[in-house]
Amino acid sequence: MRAYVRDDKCQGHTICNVVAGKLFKLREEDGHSYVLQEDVPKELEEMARRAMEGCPEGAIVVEED
Amino acid sequence: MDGDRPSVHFDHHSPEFAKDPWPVYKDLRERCPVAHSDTYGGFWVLSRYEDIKKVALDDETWSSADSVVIPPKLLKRRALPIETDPPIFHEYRRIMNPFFAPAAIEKLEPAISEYVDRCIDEFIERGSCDIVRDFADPVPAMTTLHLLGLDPADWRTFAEPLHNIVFHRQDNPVRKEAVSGYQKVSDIVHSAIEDRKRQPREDMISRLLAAKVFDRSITDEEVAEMIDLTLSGGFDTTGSAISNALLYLDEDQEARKRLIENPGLMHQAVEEFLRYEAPQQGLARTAKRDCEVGGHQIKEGEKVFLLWASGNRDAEVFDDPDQVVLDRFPNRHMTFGLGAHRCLGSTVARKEIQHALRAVLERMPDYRVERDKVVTAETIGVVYGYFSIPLTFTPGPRVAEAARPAR
Repeated sequence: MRAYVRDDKCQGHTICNVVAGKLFKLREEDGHSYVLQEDVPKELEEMARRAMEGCPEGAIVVEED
Repeated sequence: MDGDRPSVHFDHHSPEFAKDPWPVYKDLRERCPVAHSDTYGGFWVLSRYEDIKKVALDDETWSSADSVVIPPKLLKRRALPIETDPPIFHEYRRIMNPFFAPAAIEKLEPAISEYVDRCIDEFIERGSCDIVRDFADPVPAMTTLHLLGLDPADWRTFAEPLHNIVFHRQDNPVRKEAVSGYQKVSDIVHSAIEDRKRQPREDMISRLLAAKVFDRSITDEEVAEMIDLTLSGGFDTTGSAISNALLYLDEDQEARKRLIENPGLMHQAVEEFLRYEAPQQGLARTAKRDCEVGGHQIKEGEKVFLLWASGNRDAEVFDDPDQVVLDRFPNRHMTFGLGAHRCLGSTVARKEIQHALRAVLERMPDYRVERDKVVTAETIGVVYGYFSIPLTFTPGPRVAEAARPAR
């Protein structure tokens, strides 16, 4: 699975960081989110899906294998 | 006149609406989700989630520069950056963002917790209080002033006029008095600006004053406009969220019990309270060109009112939308708006509400609302809140040191 944040859609709601803090980090300057790396470890796949579902802007992209 | 357009008489400032807006929203969503109201000079009312979202995300078509409230506010000063459009919007937002981002708010959290505890300390031994006057008003006021670098002890000077402005109808003389009462606030803000220019501190006002926008130094007026928005955004909105949640937890004792027994639910519960009763019922946009929403033609210059609170109850998006489901997920509510104008204060608001509810449930778990003494705002058209919510509870101990001076 790969997951990443679309910069053009993220508005800093921070829900992804609340539900999947291990995957989605927040920028200091504006609280917008990013991933340290796109590959999602197996044990965090469910968390990634939750982050995607929880984002009000639809900014989280999850690509299942 | 366009004979095809669905006509309604929608008055978000009416006393009837203040008593119960929810059936009005439901009726709109079902009957005419894009409707034209003849009130306040005429404007369109959008009540469905997807239509609201579409407009909120399209700053190119929909301007915020021509008042985002209906009717336009009486105070003629621009609030920055809410009343601007991209690209200008981004220039101002960029310099305010760091103060409100989670990294900064984490540093503010101990102060929030302290304000919550101190406010409760003032009434915990009495066994009674007015949770608006004694808690929901001061906590956000003190937090916002702290955030800005102003003195939290001054909170009443700010809170009183702001409170009276948002909760009274424009035609009420109290409101007009409040607008002139706001002059004291303006004076404090301008004094603070002068003071920080002479002697900069490590605070938000000083840092804003040092900022560059559009490759030039920021002006005092621009900083004042940003402070204005921070004040109006930070007080009654968050205070109402706290009040509404506490009222709900008085009606629904099961939910209260569940939250007391499962404090780990607090994050999701606060999101749900925010969805269920959005403190800000809606905000407006103005069409920059002729366009279409939900099959209806809208002309350049016409206004639409984006009913966040109604979008939050849209059954197309939320299962059992009129139920509070404490652990609801996903909860993609629009209480903080959507798109670039997403509420700058969303993180600090959440923290305040979380701490406030946690402390009340820990220290006054058996509180009861004196329902017949609750006083709703005269209008909920700007903020959905209350003037007064008297409570009784089993008295408890103060938590701060006994030597602390009362605020």
